[in-house]
Amino acid sequence: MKLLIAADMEGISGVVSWNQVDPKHPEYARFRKIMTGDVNAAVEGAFRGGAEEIIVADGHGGGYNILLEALDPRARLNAGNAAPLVMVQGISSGIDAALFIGYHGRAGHPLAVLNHTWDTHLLNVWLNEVLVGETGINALVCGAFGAPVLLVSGDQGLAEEATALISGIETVIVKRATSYFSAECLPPQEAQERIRHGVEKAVRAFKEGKGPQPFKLSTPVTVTIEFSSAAHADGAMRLPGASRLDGRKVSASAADAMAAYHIFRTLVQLSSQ
Amino acid sequence: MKLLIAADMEGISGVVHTSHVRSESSEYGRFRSLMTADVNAAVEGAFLGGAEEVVVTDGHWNGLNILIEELDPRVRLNAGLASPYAMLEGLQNGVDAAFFIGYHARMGTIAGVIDHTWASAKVENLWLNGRLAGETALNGAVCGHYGAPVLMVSGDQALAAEASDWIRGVETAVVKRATSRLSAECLPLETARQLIRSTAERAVRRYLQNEAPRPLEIKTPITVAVEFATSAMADSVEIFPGVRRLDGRRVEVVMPNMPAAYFAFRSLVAMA
Repeated sequence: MKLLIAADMEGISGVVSWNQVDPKHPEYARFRKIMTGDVNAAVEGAFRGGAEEIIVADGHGGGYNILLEALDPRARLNAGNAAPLVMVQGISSGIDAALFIGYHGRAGHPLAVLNHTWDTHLLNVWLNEVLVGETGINALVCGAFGAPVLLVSGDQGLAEEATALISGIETVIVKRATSYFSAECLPPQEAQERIRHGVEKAVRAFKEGKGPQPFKLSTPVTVTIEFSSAAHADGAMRLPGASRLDGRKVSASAADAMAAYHIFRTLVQLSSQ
Repeated sequence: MKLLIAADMEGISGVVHTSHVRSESSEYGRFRSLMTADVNAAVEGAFLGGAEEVVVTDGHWNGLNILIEELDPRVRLNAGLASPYAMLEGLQNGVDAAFFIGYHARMGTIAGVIDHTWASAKVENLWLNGRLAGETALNGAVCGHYGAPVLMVSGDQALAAEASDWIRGVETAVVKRATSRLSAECLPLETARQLIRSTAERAVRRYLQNEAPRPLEIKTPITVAVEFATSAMADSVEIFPGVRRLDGRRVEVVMPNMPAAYFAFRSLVAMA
């Protein structure tokens, strides 16, 4: 069984502020170490549960956060977010299932630490009229390759979001958000013990044929983005075939899940230039 | 007869250096005034030739160059390049013909003042259906889709040759003779403006007598191929719907018509 561990940073144990996930800030060094620790806990749990091969994808910012020298040597690391599939790079290499470690709630989530969707100028993202965050977007890519998402780790907001989207998903809550910038955090050792345990259980269940199904949407997939300003929507409208729904909302239709994912990222990129 | 005057800056009379066309440069103030004057000369010639309505689109950089307080008061100005049709804003609302004033040769030309294709730091080459194209061909073909012929271009001799190669019978006003990428023998400004004025007048008169060039048409579907300056740029456009990677720096995408090709090209450049 080959597993992809897709890691982000905002949902890592102890993280509650942008400074902690910003490479330019002195606090960052502490949290990249904890991020590597959370990922290692997932690797350990996965092997205990019966995984045979593990790829870790570093999905935060530029994708250069995880300390390779501190990473469990049984895992391969996809570093660098210029990779074609960014946060889930590796998913096309015959992966059976995925775990999302250190994930965060969607932009606008009522109570989730550092909630956002891809970039801070996105207010809302809908796939076929379902409001989604990065969990939904990346799960869709995994689903396109037939891989279910077995588990997410992050705060309780992220856990609720993932559960609503993917029935039967295992969730590990490493902190309880009390606002956008605050949370009651478990000690990292305890958080990592919970990750290890949760992952072991999830992988075991998958191997027994009991895990969640791959996340799919009916096709064609409509991608709709609401941006924080009309100027971003103006930029996104350069995509041939895009339609303007209102001042800040742009929508485009995609033939299938992968096309929807690429169109989503294209709209985001165009809106930022 | 309704005319679109699409203006760029590198081919304006007297412009020979990038410092002349960058808003942060101390030289820029002089050249935006000269740009406005070249456009005014074209407006005057167009009205003399029989145009009834003229729309000017400021197509350089962010589209905030032309001095509206010095612009001929008979025209409307499209300012700001975040507009949907950018350098050609206004075209989609129905114009009969277009002028390209202050245009420049495509990236990679020998002796063309500030030759580039949309973004000099990103685009090495653009091909439309396999043929190397610059902004004149790209924009001319979008005009062509809307049935509007390009009646005249102004700029240096390299731009004039490139335009004539694509658009048979286009009028050209050569306001400077490029001697390298950053040098030219420039006509005195009054002479240059007189040349633009008389060329514009003749171009519109020919149009009204049905002797104008035909709209530039490109066979559909249209293959847009772009060579970027680095393979990292090509990497970052690979997610664009339908893009095919040809080699390290080159990508292509097939679009059903010229406006879609224009939007796709601009998208690729923005993403790169």
